[in-house]
Amino acid sequence: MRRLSTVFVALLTIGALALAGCDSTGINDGGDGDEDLETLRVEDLPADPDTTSGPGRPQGYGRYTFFDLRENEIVLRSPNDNRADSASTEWDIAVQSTDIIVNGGPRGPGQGAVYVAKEAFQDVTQVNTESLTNYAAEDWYSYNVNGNNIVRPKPGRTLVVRTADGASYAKIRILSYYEGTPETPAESNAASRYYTFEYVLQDDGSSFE
Amino acid sequence: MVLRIPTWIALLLLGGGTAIAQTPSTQGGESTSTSVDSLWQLDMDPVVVTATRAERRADEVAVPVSVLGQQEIEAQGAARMTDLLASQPGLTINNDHGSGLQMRGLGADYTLILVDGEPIIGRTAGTLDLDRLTTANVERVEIVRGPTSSLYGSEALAGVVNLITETPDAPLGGQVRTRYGTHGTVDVSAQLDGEQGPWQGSVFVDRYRTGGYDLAPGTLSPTRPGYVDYTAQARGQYEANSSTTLSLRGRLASQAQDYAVGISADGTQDEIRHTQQNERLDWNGTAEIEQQLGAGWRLTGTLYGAGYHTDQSLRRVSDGTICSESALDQYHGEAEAVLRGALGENHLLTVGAGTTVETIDADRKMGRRIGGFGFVQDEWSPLASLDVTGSLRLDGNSDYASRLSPKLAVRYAPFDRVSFHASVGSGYKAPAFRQLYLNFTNPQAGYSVFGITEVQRGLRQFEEQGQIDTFFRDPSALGEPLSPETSWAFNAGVTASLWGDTTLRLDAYHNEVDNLIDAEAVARKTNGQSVFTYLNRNEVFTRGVEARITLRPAPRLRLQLGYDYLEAKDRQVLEQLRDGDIYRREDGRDVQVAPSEYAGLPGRAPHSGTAQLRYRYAPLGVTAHVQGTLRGRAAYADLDGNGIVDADREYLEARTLWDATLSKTFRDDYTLRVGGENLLGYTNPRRVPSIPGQEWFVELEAQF
Repeated sequence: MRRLSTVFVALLTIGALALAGCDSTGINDGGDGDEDLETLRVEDLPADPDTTSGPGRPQGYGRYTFFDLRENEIVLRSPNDNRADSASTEWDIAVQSTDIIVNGGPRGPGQGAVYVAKEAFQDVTQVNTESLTNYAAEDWYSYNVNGNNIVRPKPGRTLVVRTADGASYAKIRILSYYEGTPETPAESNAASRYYTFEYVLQDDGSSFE
Repeated sequence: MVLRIPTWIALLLLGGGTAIAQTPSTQGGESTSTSVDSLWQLDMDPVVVTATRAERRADEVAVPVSVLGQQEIEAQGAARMTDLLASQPGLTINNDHGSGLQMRGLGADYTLILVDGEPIIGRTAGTLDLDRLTTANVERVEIVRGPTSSLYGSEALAGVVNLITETPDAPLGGQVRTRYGTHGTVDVSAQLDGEQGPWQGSVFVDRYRTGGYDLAPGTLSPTRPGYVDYTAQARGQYEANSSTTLSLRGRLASQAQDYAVGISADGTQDEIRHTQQNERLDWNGTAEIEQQLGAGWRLTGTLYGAGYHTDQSLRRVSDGTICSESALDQYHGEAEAVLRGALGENHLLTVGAGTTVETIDADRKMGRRIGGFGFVQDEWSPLASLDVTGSLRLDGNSDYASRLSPKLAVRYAPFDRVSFHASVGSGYKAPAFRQLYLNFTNPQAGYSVFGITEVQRGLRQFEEQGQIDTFFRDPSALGEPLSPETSWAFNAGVTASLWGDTTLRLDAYHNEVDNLIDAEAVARKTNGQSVFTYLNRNEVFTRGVEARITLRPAPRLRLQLGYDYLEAKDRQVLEQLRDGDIYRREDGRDVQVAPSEYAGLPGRAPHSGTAQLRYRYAPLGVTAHVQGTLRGRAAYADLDGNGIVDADREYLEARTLWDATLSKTFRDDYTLRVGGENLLGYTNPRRVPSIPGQEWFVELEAQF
């Protein structure tokens, strides 16, 4: 099942590409004549999901899943005991529970950095490189607003990431923290710690237009 | 047992000469059922004790008060306080850890609930569960809207509800009441009271049992579990001589429930049967001495003690394993002396002082705080048409910042049929026990929460153990005493007799509440989890308009209509909206939310209304009561993660509940009552599980 998900991601990516191609509303289309940047979609990226049974807070391996935004693939999963890849610059972001880190500073050997823009995904057109001072994404979700312990990504929060090689930028919109992206997680039994997100990668400059 | 106010009390108070306010004694001897029609006048000018801590006629008080008399309580036929208050204009019941009262847009934490003038303790997450309180021995409910901390201290921020229990009014009397209703509800109560010479006493017992209900039969646990509640109350009074009265009052209540809970194992839909057992016990006792000092002065000394205990356990049925257990013990003690009397021709002075001690002992928190307070009130009538009441109270406490609560209220009645009133005052609510004393680390998740008195010690300990990764706040700056949550409120209104017996009352108010206490992360631990503590930071406001009309279209008919407009918003949210920081997801895009789209605090309906129609035909002993409670469309909850209610699906639809009760009195002393609640059968199992649908009851009452 898990092996399939990479294939799934790839398939979706193709789907997203196709969608982006025929999107006349211009979700990711900023200017005239510019080359369109694709919006990629990653579904159900496991962020160290629960391995226990019974009620209570989910508990996994306490380790991150590492993801490569440039290649759109998982580098290292949380259950994998061999953590060698975590010390590489192969990965750009890593997720464990609600923690999102990037490959830079104290978090990794790369040139990565992140900030969370208080702007809608489609409105983030330019990377504010001076804001790239953080190595973990803060304040991207709300928790337990209605007392049901649900994690909800905040609308209008866009993660802006410099990749591990320091050469590319990505903007990320997190759509869901639950497997299968249920409309109302509180009313479904969906497992938590599965990220679904969209992102745009720019390997040529710091503009998304 | 209809309340009768000796006119001489009212006259004395009016005259301002002597202000010997008696306990609301009633005169015996007269039959209560033959002269009912003549008692209708009493609806117009009942006496209240809550607004000024002494008897005043309700229509002379400068702050908004409403009084539910015994006739109204009985005509409505509600068994628990929750049901009685839910249909009153301007009051809403919100269900969060019990049935709590929302008043003027403020939650259950901010209303003080008194029984015979003494506070009932035992709140869960701020809610004092009104299902704990029976209506069977309550002869009057007084509701004061607006902050009254200048007289009562903490929690009297939104208002005060005082339940006045019955007092003996005959050499020997009493009543027995039984009730059967939907969901296996059985309520049996008995009261015996009497007086002989200088002695007066009464005993009351009540057993209430309800089976609860299940709106989602697919699951093991019921929507609302049933419970059994016992209440016992006794009072005795002795007039030692013409100027000294001693009294003792006690109340003991217990509630127990035991219900099935299904807990599903990971990855399966199968529920494993567990049983949840909850027990609670609360008691309070008062000893009071009242001494007339001459020249219209009176000194009252009161000792008050209360306890609240809960025990909860969750057990797996198959093997009896205890999955979780918790216990809580809370005590409250208070000593108070109040002096009241006339000063010159037109001042009525009340001066009081006292001390309190509160302790909490629960699994995750333990603490003891000691407080002292003093207050003064002057009721000044410079003119026959003008009343000015000023009051001021100082509260000091060992474990939170002290608080000065002033209030000024003015009533001006330039014409016979019209009076104006205005008030400005400050209210406060003491920090909750958890905000002071909690010391909790979640064993699975690893995050920690400290109350403010524990936070420095806790952080130091974590630091010594190398558990701290980063401090978000300077730990040495933490641990400053929390300020109570405080408010300023303004109220202005008019009361008018329009034509005939039609009266109108309008009030507009604005509450500005700040220093709201909220949890905030102050450090990150090496395990990635946060350490939280409580800080004063949020501000909300609530404002609205209240309109009440009483009509008497026919001699035996009374119609009361109420309308409330309410706005309740969080100032931080408004600021973020103005900055354009709040978005919502719409058709796959994130769009900015405009300030006008913000619905305000959840559970508050901008528009609500009540209608109460009562018909009473004395010759046949028949009373009919019909009431409708409209609650307009209201913010329900944030569902999309932006933290506020703004999208359509985040609202709760408008609803109207209709109830009807018919009472028939036989041979003066026996009353048969039948009633239906929620006649149209409104339910919304997912969003309003507290409404069970249609319910019926039949009740028989005998007086002797």
